[in-house]
Amino acid sequence: MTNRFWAVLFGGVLLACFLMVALAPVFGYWLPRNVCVYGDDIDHLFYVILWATGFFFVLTSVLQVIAIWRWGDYDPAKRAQYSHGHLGLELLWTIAPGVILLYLTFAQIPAWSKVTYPSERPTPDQVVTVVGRQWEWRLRYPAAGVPERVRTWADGGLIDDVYVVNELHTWKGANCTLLLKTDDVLHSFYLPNFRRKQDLLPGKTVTIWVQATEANTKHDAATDTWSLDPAVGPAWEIACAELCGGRHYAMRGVVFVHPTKDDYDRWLKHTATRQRSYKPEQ
Amino acid sequence: MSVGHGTKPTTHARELGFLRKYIFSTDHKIIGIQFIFSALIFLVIGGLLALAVRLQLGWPAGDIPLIGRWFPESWGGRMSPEFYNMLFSTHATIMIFLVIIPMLAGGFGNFLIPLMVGAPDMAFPRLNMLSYWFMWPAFVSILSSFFVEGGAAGVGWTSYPTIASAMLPEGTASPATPNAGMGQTLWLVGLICVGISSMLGSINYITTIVNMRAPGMTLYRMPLTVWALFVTAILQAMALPVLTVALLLQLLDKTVGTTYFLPPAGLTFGNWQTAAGGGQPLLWQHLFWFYSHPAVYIMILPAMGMVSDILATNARKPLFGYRPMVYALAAIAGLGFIVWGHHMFQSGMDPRLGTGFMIATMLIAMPSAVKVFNWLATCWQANMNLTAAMLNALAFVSMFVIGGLSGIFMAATPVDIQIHDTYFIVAHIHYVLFMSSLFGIFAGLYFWYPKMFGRMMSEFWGKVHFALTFVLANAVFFPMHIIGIQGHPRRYYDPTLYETWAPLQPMNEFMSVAAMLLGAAQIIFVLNFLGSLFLGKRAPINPWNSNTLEWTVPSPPPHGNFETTPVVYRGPYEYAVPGEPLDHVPQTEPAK
Repeated sequence: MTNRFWAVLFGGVLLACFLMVALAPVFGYWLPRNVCVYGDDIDHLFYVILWATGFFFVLTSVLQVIAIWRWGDYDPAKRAQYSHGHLGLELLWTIAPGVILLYLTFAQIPAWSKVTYPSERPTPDQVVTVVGRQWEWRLRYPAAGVPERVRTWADGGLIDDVYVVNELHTWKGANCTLLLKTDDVLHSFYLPNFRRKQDLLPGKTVTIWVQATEANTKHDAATDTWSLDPAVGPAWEIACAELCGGRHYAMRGVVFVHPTKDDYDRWLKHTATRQRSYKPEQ
Repeated sequence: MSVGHGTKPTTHARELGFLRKYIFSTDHKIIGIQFIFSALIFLVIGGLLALAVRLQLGWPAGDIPLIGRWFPESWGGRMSPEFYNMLFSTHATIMIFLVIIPMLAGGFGNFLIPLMVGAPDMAFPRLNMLSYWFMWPAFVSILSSFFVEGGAAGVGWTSYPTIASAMLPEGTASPATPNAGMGQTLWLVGLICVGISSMLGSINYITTIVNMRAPGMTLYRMPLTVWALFVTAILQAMALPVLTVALLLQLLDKTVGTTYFLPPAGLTFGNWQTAAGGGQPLLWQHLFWFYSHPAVYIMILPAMGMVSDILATNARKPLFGYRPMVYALAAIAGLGFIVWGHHMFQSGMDPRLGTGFMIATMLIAMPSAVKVFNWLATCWQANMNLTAAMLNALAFVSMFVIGGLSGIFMAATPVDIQIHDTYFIVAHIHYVLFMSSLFGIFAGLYFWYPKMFGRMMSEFWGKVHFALTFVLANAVFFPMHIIGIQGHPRRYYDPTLYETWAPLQPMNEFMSVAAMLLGAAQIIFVLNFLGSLFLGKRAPINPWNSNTLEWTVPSPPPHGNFETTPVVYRGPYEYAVPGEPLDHVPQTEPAK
């Protein structure tokens, strides 16, 4: 009766896998909080695939465990069923997964085109140039509004541009367009909370956009400083997702989402003033 | 047509000396065993590297007991990030290029193809020997790279430019040194040798299968192992030249200063500047994945074939849907050539191209589903003998289901944005390559060991090893899905720097402990494998009552394999035939 033991072992391990996925959200191990306008579309597709794959996982696991339990006690006196196949079954398990896969495929296209296609990109409220380098993010903000020629600005820049390291500042609801560049090696600009990731390619400028649905930054009028609102929870971070050398893991940045455009403008002006009045001996 | 030059009986009268017989042998069986032994040795090395990676991830930058003093002093007995990069890069390189591909194609392919098609040897025995000895420069250069200035290659097994290829006016070292200096050059040289070895092997396999099948061994009477190795050889012959050329291009970039992967404006590293280029970093990714995606199938198809044979033999039941299984193999291989771009959805390639690659990638799940359902149907109403080989084959099926289903998440372009380059990918590749391919390899070793060495492995210890490996491997790799969903990036020296991923540390620690235990459990296999060489029960000709041709010759088979050329009368899966006195009807049994 060792077949029962093996059926239980297979069943137990597969059940443990199933429960781990089912219970992970309960323990807080799951998709990070989404704060981007298209994040819900992506998360929705994730759940659609999770349900479809979960169904096939349970189906195949149950069939296998049953087979081991029922037909795993080898008996030389017995004979297995003599069958070389069944056309109907073959058609069933070719066509049914095929239909589901086709549905899953075409369900992806609207979200993919919305997030990535240049033709679908919304008019920017804000543009920022991001230059990845070993090992930090250099962000450059235009001092006033969106420049007329964005690509020319991204390649050259203006004299009053504001430079910030490892901090992306935007405001709630803004179409924030990011022009990604690198001068050394590949990096990947990864915003887990915004469901956005894009590699940086030497010699190329890659444009992406994000739009925050919530704010996480507050201004302290007494000290005239900005900080993350602890009530919002963990920081919304920037990480590098493409191996770029020894400190690849340490390219950490933070996204600051100001409540309104006015708050953002005040921060930008403050930062610009501070930069211009900076003296080395201070 | 199947009557090749294999018709003449070939028993060698001349005794060969030890060196010619076991070292510089042209016998396909010895060459196969040589591949298997070297792959097993590298499996141990690659496994130890993986444990070192887990050591760092479980206890980031912790004091390392015992071996801590091996690490550079500047890190105070701890592992440096550069060294960590070398560990995972070399782990992957070894496991893919020096373990799984040589084990499946080189080891099992060599040993099984002539025996299963009824041929005395490979079509080109000397070429075959050359294909094994081309592995040695690779062994030497990859292992020795740890001892050159700057250490081993540490830019991932994918070696993306420009970090891998960039070169400064002063010399070959990239500014990313110590991760891409001399070690990277040795990596490139090693992989070029592996590529040549595999190409020599694949030409041999194709020729042998096409020309040297025994009389009556029609294509649709070949066991699925042979079909799978045939398809794999075609994949290798067509895709490998592309990788080999790409490796050569990067080698030229690194040594003589060409600029295939350097953009026109050159690169700036702080106050260092490279020369101006004229190439494209993205070109490498296209060339690399044009081979390395088919390589994923090169690493799984032979295991699928072997598992099909082992399932049918031990289930004592004909393989369900033989022809659909063959068509599925061919479909996976064919589609495998047009899906490489799914590794590059976030690479900066035109996103509209991503849509096309997504459709092709989703389609490839169809033949995979066909295979899984046919394996399950083979077990249905069977009379299963749960040997160690069979248990591993069953595990292959259920683990391949997980690895295949998780692939759908990353084939879906929008979902891939979130999980690309996270531990979800690491989980996926390990479910396919460790949990599927390696369980297939274990199954194959338990199954064909008697034929290779003339002795049986211990069934009891085989089952103990299987149970521990099955439980622990899932404990190591399944939680990686969960931390990947949370966005935990791969190739991170220390994720606790991030508020998003620091809370995952208990899971990382759990996986590391499970990995250490998993490593320890493999000692059982090593002892069983080596001990059985001398202490195992003598193997009969056909211990599993199997139908295929290799079980009609002595264990181990003599040089030349068959006394007289066998004649084949039926397909390989005639088990439980009604009205027959025995449970199995060998392929050589004449029709009544």
